[in-house]
Amino acid sequence: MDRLKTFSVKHFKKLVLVFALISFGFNGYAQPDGEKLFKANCTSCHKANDKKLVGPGLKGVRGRWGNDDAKLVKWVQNSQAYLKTGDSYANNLFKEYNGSVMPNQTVSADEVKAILDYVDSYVDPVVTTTPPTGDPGTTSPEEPTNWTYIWIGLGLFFVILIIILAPVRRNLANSAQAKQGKVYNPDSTFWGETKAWIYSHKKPVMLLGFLVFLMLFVVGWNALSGIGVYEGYQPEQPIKFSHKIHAGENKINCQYCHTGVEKSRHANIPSANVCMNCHKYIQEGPTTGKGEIAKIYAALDYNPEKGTYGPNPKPIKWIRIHNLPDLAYFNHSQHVKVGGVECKECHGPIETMDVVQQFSPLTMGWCINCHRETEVKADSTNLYYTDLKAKFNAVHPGEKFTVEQIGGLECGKCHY
Amino acid sequence: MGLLVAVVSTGAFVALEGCKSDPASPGFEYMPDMYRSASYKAYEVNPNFADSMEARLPVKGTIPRGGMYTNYTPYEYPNTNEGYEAAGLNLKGTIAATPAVIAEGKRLYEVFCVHCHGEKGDGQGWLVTSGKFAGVPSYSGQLKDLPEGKMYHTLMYGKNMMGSHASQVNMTERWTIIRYVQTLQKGGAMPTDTTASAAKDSTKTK
Repeated sequence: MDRLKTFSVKHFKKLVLVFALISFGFNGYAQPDGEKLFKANCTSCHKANDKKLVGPGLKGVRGRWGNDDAKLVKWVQNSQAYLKTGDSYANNLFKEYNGSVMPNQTVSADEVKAILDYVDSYVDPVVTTTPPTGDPGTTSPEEPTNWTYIWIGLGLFFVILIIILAPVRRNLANSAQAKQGKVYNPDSTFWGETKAWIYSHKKPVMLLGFLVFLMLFVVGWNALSGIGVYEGYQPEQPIKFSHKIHAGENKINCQYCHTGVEKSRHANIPSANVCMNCHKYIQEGPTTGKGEIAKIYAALDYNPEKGTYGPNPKPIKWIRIHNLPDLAYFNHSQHVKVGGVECKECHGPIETMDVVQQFSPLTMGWCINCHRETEVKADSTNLYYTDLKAKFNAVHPGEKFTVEQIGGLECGKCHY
Repeated sequence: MGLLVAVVSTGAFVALEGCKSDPASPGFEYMPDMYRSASYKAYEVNPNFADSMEARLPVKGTIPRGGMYTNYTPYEYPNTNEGYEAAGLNLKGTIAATPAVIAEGKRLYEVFCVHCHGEKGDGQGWLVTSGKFAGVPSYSGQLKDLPEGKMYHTLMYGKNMMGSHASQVNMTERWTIIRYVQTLQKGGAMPTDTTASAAKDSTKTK
């Protein structure tokens, strides 16, 4: 009786355990979340597919370790201790990765198993990328060209029509005049007729001539004043790097890449190693897919599959947009670091541009205007100018302390 | 005669149409030989070098002097695990954690680090929370006791998914950022007493 009782209690306990397991299994909160754990602990070095990152891709890792989860748990929890057991696979792996140590992970055995289950079930998401024709950067420059040809074609058509029809009209007019018994002039030419018409309509012709002259003057004036001014220059770059994505959506600070802006005359075009700070991990872009990022890899001779650099890097031939003439000197650090000018004051809303264009005219008038209007930041962070401002205001009380007042219009500041 | 009129009018039409600015063309320059001198500019193609780049790296072993590079010391720890450990044990910053340094460090941190490491240094920058980047550790968690030498080593050579930032921040800036990161390790409290925090730093890393 006693025995029977204990037996049933044991059974009851087992039953409860099984029931609990099943119900927990269905609710899904007793089991550790493999995906979450993987993303929190592993993604900085491992991918769930077969691609190498810092460490090997984890696809098929169970098979490589002889389907022994216990071994993997030990390795993950303390890889250096596991190496000492003399496991040949682990030691070879350690050698293959040049002795880079996998840091000890504070995960339980169950959590490691959950991560492995997640890796087993992982399938690379299928990424659909928009075809290059949908890119606004490539279509917009072509459009005006098409329209130009249409207008030229139409113009040519009408000119030819006039040339063909002019003699016909003249003959008709002549014969009509002859019928009415008026003077018939068989030598009448197009030019002669036009001249006669001009003499008989002096006032309207003069007005028309004046209007045409005015139009040509305005057009010519605009064309001439645009010489050497590149405002709106928006060339296609060899890599479709989008400032809209990087500076706009991802809010990467301008200086993260243009590091020279506070230290040097140049703001710096970043070298490709700066791209790799993120693009070692991000191998696919949201609009152009893998194609454009692959151009960085090609320039660096980098193999994203193996994560290794080759011996033949090639420079990327970016097209320079802001071409200040050599006769003028400009220094970024003086304006940004000393003057505290924001990038966008001259470069405009870069964070909205897929293809960057020159926002400011960069003419001398534009420079001078800003130097006349801008007050020097002479606050406590800029003690040199604080002192200078006090001295200036002692002589010129109440006057604005502009860049002009500290010699910002001296010829030799920019031209030397 | 008619032909002449046709040619002139077509020519005028094309000329006017040509004035429409093409965004991919910089336009015209008057006397470009005055605008563009013959010398090679910073990012120009220079055929005298095998890789055609005018921008050159300094000769190996060159040490910059003066200006922002005052007190420059070459970095001697190799890019290996041993180098990392050795830097953690022996490398100490020369810049004290004054409030001004930490404020500047915060500014630099917000330029170079914040998008991944997060405003609080918890590894939850917007590139991580938006799912574009992953696996950034927290300064006050996993990296709570990371010595400053290891931080500097990581900035020099990169670690795991983080790339080397040596080309972006110079020696002074690296230590300035590290001083701010050390406040994040302790939960983000700004130090009030400069001497005390500097002393704490040096004991902490030993």
